[in-house]
Amino acid sequence: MTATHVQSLLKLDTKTTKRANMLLEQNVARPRREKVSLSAFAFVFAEIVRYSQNRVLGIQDLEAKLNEIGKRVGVRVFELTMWREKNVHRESRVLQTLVFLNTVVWRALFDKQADSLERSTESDDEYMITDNEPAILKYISVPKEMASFSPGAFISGIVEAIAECCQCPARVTSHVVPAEGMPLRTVILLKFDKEVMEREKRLEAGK
Amino acid sequence: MVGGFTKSISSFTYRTFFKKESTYFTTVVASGVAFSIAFNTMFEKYWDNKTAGTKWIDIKDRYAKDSKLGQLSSNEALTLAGTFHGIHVLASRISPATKGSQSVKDSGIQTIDTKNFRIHCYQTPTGIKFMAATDLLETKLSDVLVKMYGLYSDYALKNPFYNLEMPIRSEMFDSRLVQLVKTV
Repeated sequence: MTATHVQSLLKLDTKTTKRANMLLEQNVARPRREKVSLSAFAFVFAEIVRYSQNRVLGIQDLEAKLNEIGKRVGVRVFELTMWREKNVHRESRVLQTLVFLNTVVWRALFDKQADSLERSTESDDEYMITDNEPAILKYISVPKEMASFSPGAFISGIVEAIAECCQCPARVTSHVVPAEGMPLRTVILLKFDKEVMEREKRLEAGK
Repeated sequence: MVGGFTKSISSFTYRTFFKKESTYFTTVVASGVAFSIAFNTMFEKYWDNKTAGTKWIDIKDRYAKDSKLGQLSSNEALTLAGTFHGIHVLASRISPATKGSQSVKDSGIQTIDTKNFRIHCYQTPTGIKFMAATDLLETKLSDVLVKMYGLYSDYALKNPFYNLEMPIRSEMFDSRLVQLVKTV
C-alpha cells in the first residue's frame, strides 16, 4: 500500500467520523447534548448481555453481572449529573434521593421521567420505580426458558450505585411486570439498608 | 398438668388408633396413602419448578406444526428457501440485460407466479432474502418486505438472545410481524 493510499484512507476516515467527533468533543458540562443513537446503544447492550451470558452459570449470575456493569455506569452518571445540572445538590435523605432518581437521573439517561415512584405496601424500607417502556430494553425479548430473567438488572445497577453515592445504600433488583400494551414494563425495587432507615428515623425525630 | 395432658393425648391415640387390630390397620394404610400423596405433589411441584421452560408443554409450539390453513411448515419453508436461492443466483448471473459487464449485476428473481399463488422475494444489500408466498391479488409486496427487513434488524439483530443463522424466536418480532402482515 502506498503512502498516498494510506493518506487518502485516513482522510476518508476523518470525514466519516467527523460527526462522531463532534459528539465526543462537546463540552461535558452542557446539559442539553446531542443524543446517542438508540440503535447503536441497542447493539452495544446486546453485546454486553451476550458477553456476560457466556461467562456465567445461571440467570441469577447473569443478573448479578449486569448489575455490576450498571454500577460502574451509575457512579459516573451520578458525578456527571451533579456537575451538569444547575439546581441539584448531593442528596442524603431517602425521599430526596428517590425523587432525584425518578426525575433528574431518569431525564438525563432516558430523556423522560420514570412513570411512577411508589412505596411498597408491605414494608417501609422498600420503594419501587416503574418505567413503562425502558428505552434500552426496547428490542430485547427474553426466551421462554429464561422467563425469570430481567434485563433491567443493568438499570438496577445504575440505581444502586447512585443510591450508594447519596449515602443511602440499598439492595436494588429489577422485575419485568408486563401490563396491557406494555410488555416491557420494568419495576426497579429498592430495599434500603437497615442503618439508612434507622438514620431516617433519628433525623425525623430530631426535627 | 402438662404431663397429664400428654398422657391423656397418648392414651386417646392408643385407644382410638392402636387398640383394635382393624383400626390399627386402617390407620397405617390411611397414613401411608396420605404421605405418598403429599410426597408426590411436593416432589412434582419441585420438579416443575426445576425444569420450568424445558418441558415438552413449554416448547411444543416450537416443533408442532402450525394448524392454520395454508401456512408453510418450517421444513417446507427451508426447502423453498434452499431451492429458491439456487435459481435466484442463476438468474442474476445469466441475465441477458447485464451480460458482459462485470460490475452491474441483475437483482435476480423478484416474483414467481403459479396458477394459484405468487412468491415474492426481496434481497437486502447484505444478501439476506425475505420471501412471502401470497395469492395472485398481491402484485407488489416489496414495501412490506423492506419493512420486514427493518423488523428483522430491530427485533432480531438487537436482541441478545438471537443467534445468527438460527430461526428467530422472539415474541416481539412475531407480534410486530403479525401486525405488519395484517395491514397488507
